[in-house]
Amino acid sequence: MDSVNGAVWVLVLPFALAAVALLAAAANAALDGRTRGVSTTSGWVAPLQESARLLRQQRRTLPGADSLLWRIGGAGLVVAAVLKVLVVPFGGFTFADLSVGLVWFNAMDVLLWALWWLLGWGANSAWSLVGGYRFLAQALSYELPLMFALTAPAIGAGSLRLLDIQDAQSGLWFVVWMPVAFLVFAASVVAFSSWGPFQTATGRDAAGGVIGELSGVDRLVVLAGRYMILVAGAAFSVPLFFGGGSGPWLPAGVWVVIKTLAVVALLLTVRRLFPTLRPERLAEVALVLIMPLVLVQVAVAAVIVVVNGGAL
Amino acid sequence: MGVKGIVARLATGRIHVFILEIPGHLMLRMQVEASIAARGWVLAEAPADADVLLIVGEAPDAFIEIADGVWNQIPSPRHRTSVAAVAAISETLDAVPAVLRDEQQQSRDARQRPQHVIGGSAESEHSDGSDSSGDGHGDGAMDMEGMDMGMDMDMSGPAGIPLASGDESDRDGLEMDIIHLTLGPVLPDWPAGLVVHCTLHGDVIGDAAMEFLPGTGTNKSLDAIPAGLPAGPTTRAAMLCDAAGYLLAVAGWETVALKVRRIRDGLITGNAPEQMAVRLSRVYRQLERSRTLRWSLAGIPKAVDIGARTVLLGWLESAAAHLAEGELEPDGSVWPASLEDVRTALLGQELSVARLIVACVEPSRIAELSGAVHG
Amino acid sequence: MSPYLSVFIVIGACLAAIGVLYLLGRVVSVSSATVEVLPFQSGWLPREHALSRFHARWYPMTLVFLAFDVEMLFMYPWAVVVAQMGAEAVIEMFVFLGVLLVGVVWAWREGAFRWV
Repeated sequence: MDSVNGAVWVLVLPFALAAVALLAAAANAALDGRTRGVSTTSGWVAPLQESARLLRQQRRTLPGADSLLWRIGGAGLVVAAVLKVLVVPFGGFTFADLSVGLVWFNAMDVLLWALWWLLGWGANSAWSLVGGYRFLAQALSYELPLMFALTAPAIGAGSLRLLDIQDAQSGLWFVVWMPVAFLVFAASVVAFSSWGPFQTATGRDAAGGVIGELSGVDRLVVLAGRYMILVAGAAFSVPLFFGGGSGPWLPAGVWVVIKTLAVVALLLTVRRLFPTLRPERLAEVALVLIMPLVLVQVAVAAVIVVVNGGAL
Repeated sequence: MGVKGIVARLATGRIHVFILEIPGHLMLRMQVEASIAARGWVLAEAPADADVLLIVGEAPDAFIEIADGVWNQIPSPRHRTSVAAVAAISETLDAVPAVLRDEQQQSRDARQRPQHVIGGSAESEHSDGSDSSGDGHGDGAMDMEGMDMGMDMDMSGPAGIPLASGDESDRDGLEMDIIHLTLGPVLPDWPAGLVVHCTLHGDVIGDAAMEFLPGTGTNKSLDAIPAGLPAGPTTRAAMLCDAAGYLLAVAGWETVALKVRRIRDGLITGNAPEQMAVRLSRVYRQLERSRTLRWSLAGIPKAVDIGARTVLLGWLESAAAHLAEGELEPDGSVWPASLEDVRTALLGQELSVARLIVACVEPSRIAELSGAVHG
Repeated sequence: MSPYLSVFIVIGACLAAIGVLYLLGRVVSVSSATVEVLPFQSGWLPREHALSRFHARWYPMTLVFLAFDVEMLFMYPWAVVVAQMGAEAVIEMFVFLGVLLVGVVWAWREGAFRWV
């Protein structure tokens, strides 16, 4: 019975993630609308209008475009986002209880390097290609701190399985004694979504960069995939740093969703507070300043578990 | 109204407009952008993202060719129109949704437009009702003065476009390909009429040639404000806010750029100037406080004594002074004295930095600077 | 049910959903034909194809990245056992990381993280 149940729930997952992504995009557009002085309602419906517009729009291709790789790049974003959420536990339930769930997440975010770059490469357009390489340069900066930040919760729990990591926080959430790891993780989520302050690869200054030559459904899939990655990253921070489904009164699964939305709200706020960080400025800070900081965080976590004989 | 009708109605609620601004129509373009924002529409970032190609001002031949090139790249449903006077803006924009919703006409246009690229330019079977003039645009329009044309132009690649090839000018002495990319005159957050033909090594500008495409009639006019509009301090403040909006958009701080543009729109439409002054000082404080912006803009442009951040804050400060009916002393900085100065600053820079450098020049000064090149 | 079965099911579901979206697009869009256009170069004709040997000036940084990326292979299993192994494991790992960090400092001094 369990396995049948699981299979059905797995089918719901992509649509649920897409729905939350739509909500995030709507909230973002509503905030932007308020800043611009247009009505907030028009912001809330903006993603729906955009979706309708892109469904109705003709698709384009370019001479010499590498269409197969281009489309793989687009569809891959959606798939990678869903695969990230697949290992997130909702209380005791998880879609796929991998013993190496954390490494799975790491693998998916490395996949994003290829996907964003393929999007830039596939179009055979100068601006897109520049965007693709901008993403790689940025990825070189965020990936190392991200990987070390991911090991901190693993050290805390002594396991790579997300259920164990979540359960190890019954005493104290990891975000309390691993704040640096969480901040780096959150920044990396924004960076691998090529969004907010880390949007150079899709930047308006590069006429849209990797998404600049996409139209119609192709563009819709990429834009949706981008918000899905963002939400997937936020959802993943819940078992890693916020105690998973733990919380009073409500069922664990509901708590995971609430905490995910809270992290998304945090990311939407951060976007408004910072200008874009260009990769060529970011690299130095990321590797010389942030990475040692994360390593200190990892060291602190390691010393605590050794002295304490386990998580706090 | 079937499903298609509902989708069409929903789809035309948030129209993406791609603007081609003809030099000398700065005020008109600001008004157009204000009207677009007021409708809840947005400015497109590229032809692929656009529904409407809107030519602001009266386009001379050079711009018509550019517009044709861009028009061919806009996916259907699409609409091409132009606006030449402030009074005509709302009428022109009001007509847009109906054109985009017209299923029959749009699918006819989609069938009849060139379906393939042949010989590096769009196939010429125009039969749509638009005013596009003939077959794409010829090589004659490409003014490549000062650029290396010595490379072999084999037309072997797909669609008759040659493959990229290397040359010896790579800064690191590597055998890398160079590609050419032209910035302007139609690009988001880019000054009207400015064209930079770049030779790129990767995303770094190895060489650049600048030109300025003048508009009609108002050729090289120093004052970009058309007759019939107040050229008073409020307008001047709006122009400065507009320039600041460009710089912020290029620096990738969208939310603050939105705030500045909202102030600009308030100023040109005459809504509550006192409130705009308050907003302006709030934005100014936010920008001044931001360490990230300071760090991100530091050292741009290189080897010039004023930085992008100083320029940005200076514009907003000056705009505030204009609103307070005071006059701010010009800060005495002369950069750039000509387009050549800008060109020198661009060499060896990444495209993102190059865009910031160009955004540091007030758009209304470009025409004047281009005069300095020749005279 | 093997967890990896869910992986394949969900990949299938995603691809199917995207396929349906494309079909929907075909039905709703004004033209199901894909139009071929030139790349956007501000209205000018492209002089060559963009796909080329791209000069990525940050290539020295990729080597630093590679060193740490390989290091992560040790880091994950180490993270699992560090609580049991005790202080010795902590010291060994951070001496190792320290050596790698010296490499980062050297690369920094060489200007590998500033490439323009």
